[in-house]
Amino acid sequence: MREKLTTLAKAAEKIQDGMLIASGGNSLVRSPVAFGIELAKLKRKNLKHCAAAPGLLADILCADGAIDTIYFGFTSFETEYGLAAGMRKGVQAGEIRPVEGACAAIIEALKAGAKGVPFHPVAGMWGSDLIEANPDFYFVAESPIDKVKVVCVKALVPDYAIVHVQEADVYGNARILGPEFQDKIMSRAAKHTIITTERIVDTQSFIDRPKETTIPHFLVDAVVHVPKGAKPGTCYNEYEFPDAFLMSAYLSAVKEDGLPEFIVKYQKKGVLI
Amino acid sequence: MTVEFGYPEILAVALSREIREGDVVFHGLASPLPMTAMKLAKAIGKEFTIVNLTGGVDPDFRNPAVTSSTLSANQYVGSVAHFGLDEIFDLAGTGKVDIAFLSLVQLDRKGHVNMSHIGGTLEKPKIRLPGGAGTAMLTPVTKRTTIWKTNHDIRSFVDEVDFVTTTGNPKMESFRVLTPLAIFEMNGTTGDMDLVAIMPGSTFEDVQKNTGWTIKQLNAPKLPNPSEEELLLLQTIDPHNIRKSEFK
Repeated sequence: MREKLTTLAKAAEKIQDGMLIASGGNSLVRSPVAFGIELAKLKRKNLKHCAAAPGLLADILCADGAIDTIYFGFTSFETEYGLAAGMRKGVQAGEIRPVEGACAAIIEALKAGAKGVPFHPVAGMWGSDLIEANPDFYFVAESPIDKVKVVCVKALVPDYAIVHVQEADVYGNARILGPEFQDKIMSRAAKHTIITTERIVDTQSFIDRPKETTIPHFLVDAVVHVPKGAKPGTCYNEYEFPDAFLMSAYLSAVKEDGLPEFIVKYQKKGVLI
Repeated sequence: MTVEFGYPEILAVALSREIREGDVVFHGLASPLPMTAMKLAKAIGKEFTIVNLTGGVDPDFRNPAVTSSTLSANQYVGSVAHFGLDEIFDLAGTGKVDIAFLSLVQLDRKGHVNMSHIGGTLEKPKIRLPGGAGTAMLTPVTKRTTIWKTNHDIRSFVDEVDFVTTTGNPKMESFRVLTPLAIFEMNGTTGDMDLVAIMPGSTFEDVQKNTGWTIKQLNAPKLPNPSEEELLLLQTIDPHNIRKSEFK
C-alpha cells in the first residue's frame, strides 16, 4: 500500500475543466463541502456533476459557475432549508443543463460505470416525460428473447469521485459509518477517488474488520484529513445538525451573487473549513 | 378529555392508516410527515417494515425525531439491518415495496405529477423545482403509491401539469393523494383522480375551491376525526412537533 495523504489544495488541483465529478453523501448529509470550497477557488469551468441527491459541494460549484451539467434525482436541502439555491439559479438562467435522473436512474448509470458496460436498465420510469426530454441519457430497449421493454440509462463514469468519510487510513482505506447512500458504487464507477476524512485511523482497525471497509485503498488516489469537512451540513456520528446560521448565510450569499465573499468571510472567522 | 388537532395531526393520522399489517413501506428524504406516520403506526402496534434512505431498517420508533430532516441519525439508530439506498430501489423494482410515500409540487386531474419545472422550458425554466427524487422509478413498480401534499391549493392541484415527472396508472393497485382537505384516488376505469374522502373539518366546497378541476364526486364521504388514542400516541412519539414542520 502507498501513502496518499495530501492537502485539500493539492487534491483539488486534480480536477480539471470539463471533467465529470461525483460527490458522496445525500443533500446536507456527508457532502465533501470543504473540498467543494477549495475547488470553487480554482474557478474551473464546464464541470459535470452526478449524484442521486447532490449535496452542498455540488450546489457551491453550481453557484460558482463551475458546473454546466448536473445529473441528479433531487436537489433540495430538505424541509428546513429548501431548494438548492445555486442549482436553481444556474438552471433558471439557462447556464446549467439539468439531467434529471430519478435518483435510481443516476445510481443505475453509476452501476453501469462500475461494471464497465455502456448502459444499465432502470426499473419503472414508465409515463415519465424525463425519458424523451433527455435522449442522450435515457433510451428504451427491448429484449429479443421475450420482447419485454425496459428503460435504460447511459453509463456515468466520473473522472473523480469525492467522498467524505468518518474514518480512513493514510493509504486510502475508508470507512463510512451509518448511511452510505450511493458512495460505494460511485467509488467503483469513477476513474479516480479522493477521500476526505474526519479522522485518520490506524490500518489495524481495517484489518480487524475488513467487511466494514467501504472503499479499499487501491481505488483511492488521495486522502485528505479534514475534520468537520462536511459542515455546515451534517456527518453521522460526528455532528448531527446543520449549522443553521451558516446555512442561511450561504443561501443568502448565493441569491445575492456573493459566494466568493461568503467563503472569504467565514473562512477568516474559522467557521468554514 | 379532548385533544386538539389541526392539519398536521389530520394528515399524520391519515397517512398512518394507509399502512397495513405486513407491509414494507418506504419514505425518502424531506419526508417529516410520513416519518411521523410510520412511528405512529408502530406505536399503535401494527406489524410492518420500514425502509428509508439512511439504510436503516425499522429504526427504533421510540426515539423521537428532533429535526425535520429524514436523513438524520434518528432514521438509522436502533435499526435491525442496513439496507442501502440502491437496495431499496432494487427492492421496489422486484415489486416487494407495498407503499412508497411520495410528495409532489403539482398534480392534475389525470394523476400526472410534476416535480421538475413550472413555466419556460426544461432547459430554461421559469421556476426550477427540486426534481422527482425516486418517484419516476418508484411509482410504476410500487404496489400502492401514497402521496402526501401539505398545501392544497389551485396552484398545486391543476387541470394539466407543465411537465410529467411521473404519473399514476389505472392498472396500479392504488394511487392516492392525501392533503389536509381531502383524499383523491385514481379511478381504475377512467384514470381520473376521484375525490374519495373529505378530511375532518373540511367541506366539499373547501376542496372544490382549492382544486383546479371540476370534481364530480359530490357525495364523497367525510372522514371521522382522529381518535383520542391516535392523537395521544402522536404527541408521545412526536414530542418536538416535527409533524408541523411542513406547515410553516
